[in-house]
Amino acid sequence: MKAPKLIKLVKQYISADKKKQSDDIKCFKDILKKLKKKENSLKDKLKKESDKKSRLTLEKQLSVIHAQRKKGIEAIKKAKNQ
Amino acid sequence: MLFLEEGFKAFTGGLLERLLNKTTDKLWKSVSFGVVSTTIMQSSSLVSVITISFLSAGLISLAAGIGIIFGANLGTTTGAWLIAGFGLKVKISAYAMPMLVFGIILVFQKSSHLKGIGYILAGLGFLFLGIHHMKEGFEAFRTTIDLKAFAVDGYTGLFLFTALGVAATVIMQSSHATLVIIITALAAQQITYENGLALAIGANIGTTITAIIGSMSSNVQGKRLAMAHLIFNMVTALIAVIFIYQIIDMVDRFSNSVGIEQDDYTLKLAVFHTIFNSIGILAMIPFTNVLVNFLNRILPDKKVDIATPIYLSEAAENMPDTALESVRKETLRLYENAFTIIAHGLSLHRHDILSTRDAELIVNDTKKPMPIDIDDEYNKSVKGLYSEIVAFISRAQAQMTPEQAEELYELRSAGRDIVESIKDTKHMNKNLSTYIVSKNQHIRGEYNKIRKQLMLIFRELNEVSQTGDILSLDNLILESKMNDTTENGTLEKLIHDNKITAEMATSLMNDMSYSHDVSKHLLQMGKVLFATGDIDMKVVERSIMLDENEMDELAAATQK
Repeated sequence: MKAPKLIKLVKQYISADKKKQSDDIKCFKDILKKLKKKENSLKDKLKKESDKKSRLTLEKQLSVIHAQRKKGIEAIKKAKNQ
Repeated sequence: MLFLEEGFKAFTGGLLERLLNKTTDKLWKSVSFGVVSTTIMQSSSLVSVITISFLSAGLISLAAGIGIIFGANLGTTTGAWLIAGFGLKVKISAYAMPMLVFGIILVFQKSSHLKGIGYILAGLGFLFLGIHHMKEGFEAFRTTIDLKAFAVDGYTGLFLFTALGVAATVIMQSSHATLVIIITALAAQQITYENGLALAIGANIGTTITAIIGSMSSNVQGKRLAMAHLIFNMVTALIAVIFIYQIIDMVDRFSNSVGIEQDDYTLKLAVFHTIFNSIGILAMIPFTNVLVNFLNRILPDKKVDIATPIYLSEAAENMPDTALESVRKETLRLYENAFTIIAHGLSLHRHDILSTRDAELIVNDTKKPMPIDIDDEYNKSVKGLYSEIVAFISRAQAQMTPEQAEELYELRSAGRDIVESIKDTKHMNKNLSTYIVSKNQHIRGEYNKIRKQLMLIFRELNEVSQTGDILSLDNLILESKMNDTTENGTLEKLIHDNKITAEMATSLMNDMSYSHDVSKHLLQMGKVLFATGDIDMKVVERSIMLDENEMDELAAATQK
């Protein structure tokens, strides 16, 4: 391994904060992906559902996921700007 | 060796524990893991102690633990190769000093990883320096004292030197240290080859002492593993002693085939060490299940009181991730005990709550309230366990990184949430018991709503405990916010229409608040206790969950 590459690797290793930040972003992205999947499946269910009460429950669940995703996206933006 | 162990402990920070967790679902995987981890760490003791703590915390099965111990026995033989092949051939003392200098400098660094590297470097430095000095020492003896004069031939010598090997390893608590002595003494021709082999067999038995000491503070599972370790090493030693001449023959043939010289006894000892441990593994693997059954029989599970901790052991205290998992599992037990109390406090049966029967029907079916002394139940099944958890947490947090300490703090809060929810249930129990059988259907209906709401929370928590999807708990919080009788005007209407008395209304208001607190505490606890994945993931997941204000805004928006 060439010296500059080695130094870069050591720097990366020592600057734990940066690593932590990128790990966190990865976690956020993973969760957002899962939430998106869940959101799509709930939307599909909602399309098929005709019962008013069940539709209301699904809508509430969708609004929760939407708020959670919004929070996650903002957190990623914030982490990237730091 | 101590430095090496300390160094690798700094790196465990979850990595070793995570690996252990993933690579022990099959016996061959456990054995391979034992071989690889011990080869890397050069300490079967550290691997066996970690395995014991893992087993005590209920994270792996006894069979998997035994597999790791088998593997560790083979992995530790690489130490003999390292010492005989590298330590004696290369002038390693030249590396020792720089390693020690850099090692000690790094030991004083703040970063735990740098500190870990420092300990490993210093450990290797001391090991190399030790080998060098022992080599020099035996060389010096060579001309003045001849230890070979004490050599004993035949089986008498074999048993005598095996016993010596056991004693030396028990005292030093490291088979590596004994091997270093054996190999350097052998290289200086201070002991005969046969006696060297006997010492190595003895060292293999003696090394189990660390696991035995480690298991003393662990639960019965840890003790079983230490016993398995002892049995395995004794059986292997017995096989080696009985078939010593056949094994020596095998060693010679193997050595010839790989080009080890006839009189290179140090490398031949390494070959012997590997061969006799491999034979031990081959002989014992088919009997793993028999061994597990035997150990379960001679060391049976003690009947544990529900208020006595089963996962909190001293062995787990020093392994941060294992300690976290132990606390989580014990807090789950605390939750189970609390669940029973709260359920009965709501005059509901656990099995009804966990069933798929319609919640409305279950609450309406109540003919009479369940008599329960919540204080007494709390003292019997919660208080003692909770105190033990809190005490364990305060001992374990000293070893942790800030992130792990934060997680431990969350777990402690989860414990407090459980206790608080019992206390809130106690406060509403008296009125609830009165009004769920009241002739006034309106007040009865409102109290049944409380019971139904809490029952649904328990059901959801039960589901989340299986799926690990803690984000879905936000749905419940939103639901309970929107159903709040005190806020949505229902209560005022009931008073205005004279359907309930003022006294009933104040009771209901208070109990609605208690019920709200029970839900809040239980959901808060669920966020922490049922989250899966590593610490980073848990923290991020919790940060995405909606807080009180966000939930209020969402509830207001949804009601529009």
